[in-house]
Amino acid sequence: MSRRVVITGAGINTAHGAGYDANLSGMMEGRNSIREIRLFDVSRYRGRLGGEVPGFSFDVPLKKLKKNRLDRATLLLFAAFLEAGEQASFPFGGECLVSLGTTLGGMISGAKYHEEFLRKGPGRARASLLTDYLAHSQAAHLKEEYGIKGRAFTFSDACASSANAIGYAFNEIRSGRAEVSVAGGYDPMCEFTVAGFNSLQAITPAVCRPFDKNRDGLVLGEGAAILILEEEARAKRRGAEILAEVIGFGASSDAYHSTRPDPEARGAIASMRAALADAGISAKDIDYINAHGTATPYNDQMEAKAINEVFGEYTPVSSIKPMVGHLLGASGATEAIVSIMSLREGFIPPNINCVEVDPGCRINVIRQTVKGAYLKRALSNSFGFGGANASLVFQRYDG
Amino acid sequence: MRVVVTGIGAVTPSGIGKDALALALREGRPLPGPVARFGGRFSGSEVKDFAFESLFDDRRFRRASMVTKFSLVAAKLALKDAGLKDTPGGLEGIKAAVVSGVTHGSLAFSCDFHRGYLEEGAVGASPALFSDSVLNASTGALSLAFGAKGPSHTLIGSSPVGLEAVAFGGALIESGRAEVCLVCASEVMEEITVEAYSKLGLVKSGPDAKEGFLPGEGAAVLVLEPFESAVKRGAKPLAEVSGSSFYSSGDLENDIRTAAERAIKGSGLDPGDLTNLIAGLNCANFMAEARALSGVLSASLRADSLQGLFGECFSASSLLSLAAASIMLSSEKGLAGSLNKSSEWSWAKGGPQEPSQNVLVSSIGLSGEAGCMVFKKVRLD
Repeated sequence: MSRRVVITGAGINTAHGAGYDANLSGMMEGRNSIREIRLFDVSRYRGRLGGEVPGFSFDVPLKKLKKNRLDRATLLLFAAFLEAGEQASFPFGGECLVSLGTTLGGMISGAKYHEEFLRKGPGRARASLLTDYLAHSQAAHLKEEYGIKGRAFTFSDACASSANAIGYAFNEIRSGRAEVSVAGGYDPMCEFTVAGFNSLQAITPAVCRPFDKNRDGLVLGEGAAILILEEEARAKRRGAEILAEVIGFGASSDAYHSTRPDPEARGAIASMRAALADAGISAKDIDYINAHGTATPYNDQMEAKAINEVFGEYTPVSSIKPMVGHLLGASGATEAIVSIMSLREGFIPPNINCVEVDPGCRINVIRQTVKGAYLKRALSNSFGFGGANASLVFQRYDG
Repeated sequence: MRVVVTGIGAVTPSGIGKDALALALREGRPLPGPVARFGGRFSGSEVKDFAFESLFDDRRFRRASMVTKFSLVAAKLALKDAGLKDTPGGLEGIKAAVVSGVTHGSLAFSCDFHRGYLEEGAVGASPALFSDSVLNASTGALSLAFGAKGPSHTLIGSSPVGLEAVAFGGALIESGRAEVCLVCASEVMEEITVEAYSKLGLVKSGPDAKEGFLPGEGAAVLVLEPFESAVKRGAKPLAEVSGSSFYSSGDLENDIRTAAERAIKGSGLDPGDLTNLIAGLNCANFMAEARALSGVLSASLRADSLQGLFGECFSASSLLSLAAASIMLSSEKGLAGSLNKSSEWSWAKGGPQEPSQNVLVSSIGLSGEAGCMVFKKVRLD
């Protein structure tokens, strides 16, 4: 059985702000929403900038869970879910596949528990923090609070986590094993990752500039992005507005190194080709590529090589990471929503801060917003630690 | 397309490898005792005498976390059992996927990394610890070690996630996105988790206590392949992957019942066709599990659990149960039985040790997720 899978809801919060509209305007303007990180002390780190969700607070009353027991990861997820659910008129309480991606899960809670364990002793550390650390606990909280029945799958494939979560939900609906899915990802700003990426010298001390000749690292971001995926006939039956369609998903592994990408880009090429084949289209059918584009020297060179190999030099490419940061496990879902915005609104978000494209990156980097474009299909890439690669293909929905 | 298990690798408190696992299943001798590395403060089932460097000859991984080391050794053994190349890059040229089910990941590395920057600031943050603390580190290591370049996924969840990983891996094979899939689950007992679970009242105060679980550790890897290609290359299929279901709604008994009914239906079987049950009996939820399953299954089936042997190994528990099911289905010898001696299970106590035909594995997670999967005896027609 092969069915069409459509998107009927999208909820998003990033450094551009909370909500679809705030993010749409930020992406169209090419706004730089990166600031000094304020959630914790970053004075001891090389890179101090990040993309925090500005003034984030979750003010919607909860019926079952206590808000003060939930960490930032869960609240970011709830906010994006509620927006997506409202847009899709999602019937809470029914059976639904929950498919989420995260790198950190409840690392904020886990780090707090460990700190208490070390400083106060095992007897005085709050044990509930440890259970909230488990990366599937946010999905469990979501299901409990909103009465969602059925199965929940949580992917932790580093930066490819939520792209894989969407790809999985897409396959499940397409094959008839599920009818509707809450799919996406989340990750909060957390000192653990700032310290980690600093230790790898992957964070820029200055400006994040993907594909630029002088790029020197990424900035971290935070947020959540949730899509409601449905089988097309079901969405039509209930009169839901269809935002776009998912038509292809590809995944691969580099099997090259635990943190560095394969310089020959074989995994990335395989992932993009698999997504195109899955969609039953060819490279010339793609109008825009939302790149993983982290701005680390290794990633961008590898990704540009892969794009050039599969698409040649002319397909428009941009990365949104210099605007909102790298959202890790949430990046694939965030960039999926931005790809959908592009298809619906006919624009290509700019790859800001790129002054001079690296001559080694022989691709068409879009540095200024392109408006008024008719875009039929977009491909979004996500490449993560452990060599996990994922590519998704979205199509404008014209009925 | 029929998907079969062609290889099993295991690292358990009973020893290293499939034969040690099979022997433990036959003997049914409880393994838990005071855990030496916790100073005897907790009882549990620990893997002893695990000498990684003598089991896995690839120096790239000598500094990997113990979770990853368990995975690598179990994967090497599973590949060998399947008759596939277990050497570095041995899966190059094959569309090979890796799917892991993970509950805790490498908490030891996460804690050491965290302690480093807490105590010494940025200079104390070790890049090696950070990169191996991510939850997909062992999945990436398996891909890297054996050259598996197909899809690579890490599913996070409580005990049923080992079943979820097999269902996911089976779907990759069925859809043609992989020709071979390594499905892995690996857990290591850490003091920090045992302390927390103990404080939450989930851990047994001693081996004879009735309430709670005893912590355990270990790893399992199953090799999945299409039946046709496995037979074509001369491999012996050990079990056929059949129906599965995962369900939660906040009503535990209803959830496990729903998952069991759907898994059985998805296998094209009736409850009476099942010859064996391997129950999770985990996370202090065994009474609910017993009550729910008694309403679905036939009283004549034989019910067992690995909980008494290996303790609660979270993701690895459910995958080890599937490994046990595969052993039962591919041999004429039954399990000794280590079922919790509770009156709730009297309906399924014992039963004849006849050759297994269809095995249901059930598992319940800490957050109330229920998972069930059916493995069938492989028909060679």
